[in-house]
Amino acid sequence: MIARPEQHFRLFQGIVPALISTCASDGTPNVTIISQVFFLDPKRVALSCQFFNKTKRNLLENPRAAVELWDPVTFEAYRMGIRFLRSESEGALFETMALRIEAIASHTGMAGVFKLRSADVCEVLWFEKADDFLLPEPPSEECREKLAEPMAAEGPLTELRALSIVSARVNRAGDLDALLRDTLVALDELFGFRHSMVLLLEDCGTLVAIASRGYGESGVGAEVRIGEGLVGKVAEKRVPLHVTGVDARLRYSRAIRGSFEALHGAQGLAAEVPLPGLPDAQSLLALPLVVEDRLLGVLAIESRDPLAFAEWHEAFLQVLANQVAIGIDRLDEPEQEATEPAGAPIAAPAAPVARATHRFLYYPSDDCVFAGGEYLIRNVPGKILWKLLRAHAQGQREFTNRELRLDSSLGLPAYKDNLESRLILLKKRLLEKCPGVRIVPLRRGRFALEVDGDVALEEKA
Amino acid sequence: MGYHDLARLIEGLSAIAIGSRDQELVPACTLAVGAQADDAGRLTVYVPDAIGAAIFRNVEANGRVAVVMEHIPTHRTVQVKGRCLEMRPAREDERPIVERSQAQFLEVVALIGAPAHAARRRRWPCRAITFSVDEVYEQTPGPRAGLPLPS
Repeated sequence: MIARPEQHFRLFQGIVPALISTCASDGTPNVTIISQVFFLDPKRVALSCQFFNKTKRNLLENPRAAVELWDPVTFEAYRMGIRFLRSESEGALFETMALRIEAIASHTGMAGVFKLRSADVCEVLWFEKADDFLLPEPPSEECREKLAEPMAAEGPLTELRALSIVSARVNRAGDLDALLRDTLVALDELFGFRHSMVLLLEDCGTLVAIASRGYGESGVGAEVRIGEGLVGKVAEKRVPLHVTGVDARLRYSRAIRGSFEALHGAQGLAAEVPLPGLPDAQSLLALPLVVEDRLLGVLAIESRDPLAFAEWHEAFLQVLANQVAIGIDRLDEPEQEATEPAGAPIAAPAAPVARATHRFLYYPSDDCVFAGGEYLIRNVPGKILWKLLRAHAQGQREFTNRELRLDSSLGLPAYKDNLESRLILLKKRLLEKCPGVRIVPLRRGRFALEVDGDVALEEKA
Repeated sequence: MGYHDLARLIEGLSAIAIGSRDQELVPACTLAVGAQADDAGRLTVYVPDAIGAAIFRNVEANGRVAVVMEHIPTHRTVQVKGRCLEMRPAREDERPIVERSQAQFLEVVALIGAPAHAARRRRWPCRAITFSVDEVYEQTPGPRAGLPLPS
């Protein structure tokens, strides 16, 4: 039955592999399984070439190929006749395809080994559904529901209202913590994306998860180095990344790694990068947070549903990400902060009957702070915490962002110092690891350090 | 040349597909539903009548076939190439080969979250395509893919 490829986007998301058959000029056929066929437009698809293999050699000799694809929901089979047109090793198509491969390769420690050589563009000569591939049993209720779901790209118009609501929340947010929280709640409630996180850039080339939803508190504080793994690649390239069939792609890359190790050993390969979020995510959409030419961080959304993201989500949610980035930038500005000194001691809360002692250990060599023998925080937020704890020990209870900014020992940059985001991270890490010590916002640019009990401070070289 | 250890080599490779080409070297391919190696180093592949028209036409015309077999969870893959010796309707006593292969296929695709509709794959009646195994290639993704495996 003749069909139209543009109405079957699910086939081209790489959730289920595809089959391709080619033929050498001497008449020898070749058949192999490929991880994805990329849809470009109704007349063109692209194949990814990672190795100069028999399929590629055959296409150069004889450009005709046959492809069979299977729908990841219905398992119906579709067939295409294609003709190889050209290989692209630069440009927008190449960069888009390369990013997905590089991100997966980086995640499995195969950066530089498993990479895209070319995007092979092919003309679609015909496309049809393979009739009678499946037995005509009536689908179950669950399947009927799935089948009723739209297959083609549609939805932006119906989602515009949701975008408008999110946009309003972003604009209304009074502080960075509220902005991030409201954004992630909106992604959940309005779009149904249950698992999301915002990672912001630290000075040392590391992204730190500062807000998360759907992971529990343990999501906050997770670190990703720029250039490493799926999220790190998005930060490095500053372009969105939509990966479906994450599990299948990781298995594919691991198979290549196993094959490579068998041939060359593991020397030169990096360790696998743990996913910062769901251990069993099936799809991921990571969006860079960029203002002007500055990378602020990454908004990462995950799902256990391999079909969670439609084609239009990438561009649509990038609009949202851009708004969030502008909001983050706006709320990290020091202006309008409290300027009066906050050093005056305030009345300490009534002492509890049995006073707990919170023991903090500080390593100045890397500004790392342990609480109760457990790692708490490091780098600039660690340095800030140590300053606050020492001031608290001398009786100070309230602090202003301004006095932190003026303290040269903290090493905050003069412009765009991320102080707000660092305080949020510190607040959340304390809440998770040491709830007896709290950072409590008072108003914009001013906060208190509250301690239930006593604090014991120790510094180690 | 004979591949007498073929049965061991393809053990557990339950995702099976066949490729062929016509007189103009235009290829065709589809999923097969079973394969069995014999002691003489020949391979018989089972292709459902309902989906194999192009394959049957090509094999009838020129006999050239390629078969790829993969263990889906690990991507261990082998490709076999040869020339058709016989193509005939599969016998009823061969049906257990197809059912066993289908059961293995469903087991592994379930592990990776493939759709339940895979169980509805039409698999009978079939044609049995027996061919001489002239070439066997490593096809596991990676730098060794495409290397010939010794007989």
